[in-house]
Amino acid sequence: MSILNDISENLQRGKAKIVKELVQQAIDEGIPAQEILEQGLLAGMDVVGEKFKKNEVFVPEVLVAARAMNMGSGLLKPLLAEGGVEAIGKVCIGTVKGDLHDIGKNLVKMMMEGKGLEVVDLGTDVDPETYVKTAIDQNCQIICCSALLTTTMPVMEAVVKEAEKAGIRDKVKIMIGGAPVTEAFCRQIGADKYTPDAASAADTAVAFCRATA
Amino acid sequence: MNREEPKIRFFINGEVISVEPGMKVSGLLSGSHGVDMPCGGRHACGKCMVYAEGPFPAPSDTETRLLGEERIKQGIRLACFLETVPEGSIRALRNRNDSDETICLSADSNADTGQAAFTHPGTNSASRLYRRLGAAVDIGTTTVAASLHREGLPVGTKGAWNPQSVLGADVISRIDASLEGQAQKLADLVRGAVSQLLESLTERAGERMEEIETVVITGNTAMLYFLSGRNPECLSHAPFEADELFGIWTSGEDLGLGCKKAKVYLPRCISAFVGADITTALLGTGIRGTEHGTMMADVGTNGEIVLFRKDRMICCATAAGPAFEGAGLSCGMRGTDGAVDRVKWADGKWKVHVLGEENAAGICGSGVIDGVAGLLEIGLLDETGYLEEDVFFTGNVGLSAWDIRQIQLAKGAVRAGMETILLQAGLNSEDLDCLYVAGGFGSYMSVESAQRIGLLPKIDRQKIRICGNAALAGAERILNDSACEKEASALAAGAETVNLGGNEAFQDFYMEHMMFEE
Repeated sequence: MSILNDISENLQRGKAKIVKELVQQAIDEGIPAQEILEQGLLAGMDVVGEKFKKNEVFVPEVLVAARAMNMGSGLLKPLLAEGGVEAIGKVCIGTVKGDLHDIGKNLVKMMMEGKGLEVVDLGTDVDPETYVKTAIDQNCQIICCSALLTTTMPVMEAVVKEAEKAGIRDKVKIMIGGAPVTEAFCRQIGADKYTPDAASAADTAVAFCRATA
Repeated sequence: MNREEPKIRFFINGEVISVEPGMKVSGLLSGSHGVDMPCGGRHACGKCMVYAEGPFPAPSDTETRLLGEERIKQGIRLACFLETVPEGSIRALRNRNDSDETICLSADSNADTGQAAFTHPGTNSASRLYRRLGAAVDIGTTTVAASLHREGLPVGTKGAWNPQSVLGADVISRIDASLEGQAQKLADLVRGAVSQLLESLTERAGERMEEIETVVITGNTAMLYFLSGRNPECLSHAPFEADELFGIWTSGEDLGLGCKKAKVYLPRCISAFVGADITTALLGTGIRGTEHGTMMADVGTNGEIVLFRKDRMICCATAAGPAFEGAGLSCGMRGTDGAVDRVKWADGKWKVHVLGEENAAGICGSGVIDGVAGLLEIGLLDETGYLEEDVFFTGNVGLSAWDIRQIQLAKGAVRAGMETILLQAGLNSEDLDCLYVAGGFGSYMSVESAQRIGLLPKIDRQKIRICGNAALAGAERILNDSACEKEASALAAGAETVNLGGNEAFQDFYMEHMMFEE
């Protein structure tokens, strides 16, 4: 078991190369891929996420930890697919039309992947139709919208409307976030959930997926 | 029922006004009332604190959360939540008693601190844009500065707060306000401020404002949009392409200024986010494309950065957020009386300097930078920016762990902007021949502290020049030398703009420079 602990510890410190080596070693030792993922990589990201919530670590640490996780999970992906292991849920995420800020959005994406969710990244400047089309085509349970400008926030309402128009509003949860976004705004436009930080966004997304599973 | 609501009496800073009941108190305030409203009354920042007396309804949960129970007990409320009630009274927490003179201004003193000296323009009447009386104005997001010139010589300079701040502290929230129907108010506010400055300057010089023949007005792109009443819709969203870059002549009458007969020149902007203020600052500092590159950085809510090497000029704008302007931090305030502007750790304790030698009421940008540098120096803050508990420099003024994160974002963004355009030009910061630091905040900060926290690169101190309000100095050059009008337009037209949004090198630099150096 200590090797899984080592993976978690090194991931927290952002040691991507060591994480990759340890994951390979764990595979060679015959530890099931899902166990390596959950008790090694995801356990490590969990710690980082909690520390981020408590303001003990900041954006750069989350980024290097996430890079380390991606290195490790790259090795596990084919094995997990072979074993028929499915992600706990699927999310599409993007920064809304007219807005190019993507640091917050990337952070949420990393945290969600760190919780074992599959994330489709639509990038920045995403129009409402693209969110909804992706959610339909790729069977996403959640649409996540980010905006950093008060001038682009209204696009979030258009995403909610677009989902209603496409008839998927009862099947898809819509989560929103970004510096100028508030709880009140979320209620006003009829989105499902506003979260103030990346870690709670990931927690909420997991809860939504569990509830619909 | 079409009956008019009866008017009630309401008091602001002891002055009585007659208003309808139920009006937004924030809408009645202007810059001169001394109440800051960085978020523009959106119930977001909790800064528009006032003492309130009278039959106001109890605070809502949101207001209570923003203020804290303690302040509410002291009778403090947020102006953006209050509506007028009969015999209600509000008072600014502290009357702004700093004189307007202290706000700007172009630096031509302090030679020993490395302030760049601006050469006074020539007095050859043939080359001037006016015969006897002319003026230069710089409209900044936070402050407006103006200077009056008679026959080629400066006869007075004056600054004032930009009264548009009641509609939002930053450019984006004002663009938002404009799109929500406040365009006329934005225009009126800034036109009023410019006219007042010109009136006061002419009066002091024994002249009449109506006799001003020419005014050169510089400012960032959005400010010129607001001044000229242009719809800023194109500045509000990607791809952020300005549909007007100015470099045009208009008139005092068309702009609704007090000096109706004056011809007015608006210098050319470089892009949607790199404005005419940067064009004129380049002119004002007189920087040239040197062999190894010369850089100019204007650090404020937006950081505008220009790199000039040989014939090539590259620029970018980066969103630093308001932390350096003293907004958005737990004890943040502008650099006015009561602000801690210097912090130093010496002999085992914090030593601070407070502007106006008053009791400390908050901390401004230069104090913030000193404070962070001090925390790094004594090891209370590690290179990741982790601060175990809030630190107080004096009384209850200090920095919180959350403040440090905001500062990391701000300084990371500015520094990453610098590094990105250096990379674009194939240069390292050590290669630079010279780095000019422009803008109000830059004039007061300690270069040493700025280098310690990584806001500025660690290059030879001799290569760093602090140049104050270079934007106004450049506008003055145009005013006094018509050849500079063409030079400014050529500078602006020849600049390449690097878009940092989605730029991968920028993202990497941003992450790297969010951290501190050990």
